[in-house]
Amino acid sequence: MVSQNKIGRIILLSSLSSILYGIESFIPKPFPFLRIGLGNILVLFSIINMGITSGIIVGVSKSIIGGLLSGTFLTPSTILSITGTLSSIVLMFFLKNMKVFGIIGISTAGSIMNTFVQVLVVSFIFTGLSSLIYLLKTLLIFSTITGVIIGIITFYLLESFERRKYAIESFS
Amino acid sequence: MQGLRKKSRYHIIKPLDIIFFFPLLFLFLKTQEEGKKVEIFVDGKIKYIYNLNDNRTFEVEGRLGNSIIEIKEGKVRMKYSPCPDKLCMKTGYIKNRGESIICVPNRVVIRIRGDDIDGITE
Repeated sequence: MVSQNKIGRIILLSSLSSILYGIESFIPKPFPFLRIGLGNILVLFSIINMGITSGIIVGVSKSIIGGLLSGTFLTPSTILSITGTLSSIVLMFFLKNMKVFGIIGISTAGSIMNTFVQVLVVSFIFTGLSSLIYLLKTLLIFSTITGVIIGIITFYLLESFERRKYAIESFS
Repeated sequence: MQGLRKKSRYHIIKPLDIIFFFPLLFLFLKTQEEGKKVEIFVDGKIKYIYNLNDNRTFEVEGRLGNSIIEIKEGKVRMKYSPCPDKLCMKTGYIKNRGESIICVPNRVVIRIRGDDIDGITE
């Protein structure tokens, strides 16, 4: 039985993550695929804090609602977003359960996985792989950097959440 | 308030995280790949293919006149070109796969590729 508290948290996280995803599309960038993925902070947060089911719900609703907000819903970028997010969620969940990786490591792995899956999907649907190999280098560097940034932000988010929860429990 | 400074159960980074930074190293190593063959295009059509290891100097007829191309010790350069801005001559030597010298006024393009057919040549 899922508690109401958990449902509320999932809804809050999904909407925050969608808003971040939508707002991010207003930031100018040299190529459409070079996005930081601020919405992924909350996806990673929900995987670590609540488990894989919540992570998948937050991730998929981020892709759908965020797509509606930024006007890219039902375009190829929605397929890319959903496949990339799902695969990296599964990978990050396994890595988290291995308990040997820190949050930056989990986040970087998820980011690289996201990029690889997106490149694979693009090459299957649209073009051959050969034209993307030269892009892969840039994408890999960029996704490592964003993975580290998102890992750091998620760590501080988790820590402040934990501290606040502890304070509420100890004072009530 | 002492309890607020409780030790966090999350770790920001652990030693094993370095695994996920290895792909970057791999790519940095792979970028410096030396080419095998030189292709010379005139007016968009392939005209000559030479080995990068053969030393030779030869002339190519373009729109404006004859360009002189020199292949020397695995490197290639435009030795002389009749074009007005001489940008192709200022490029100097190239040797890595995927690099090119392009002379727009004279319609001469020099490009290096590997032994196999890769993304550049397609």
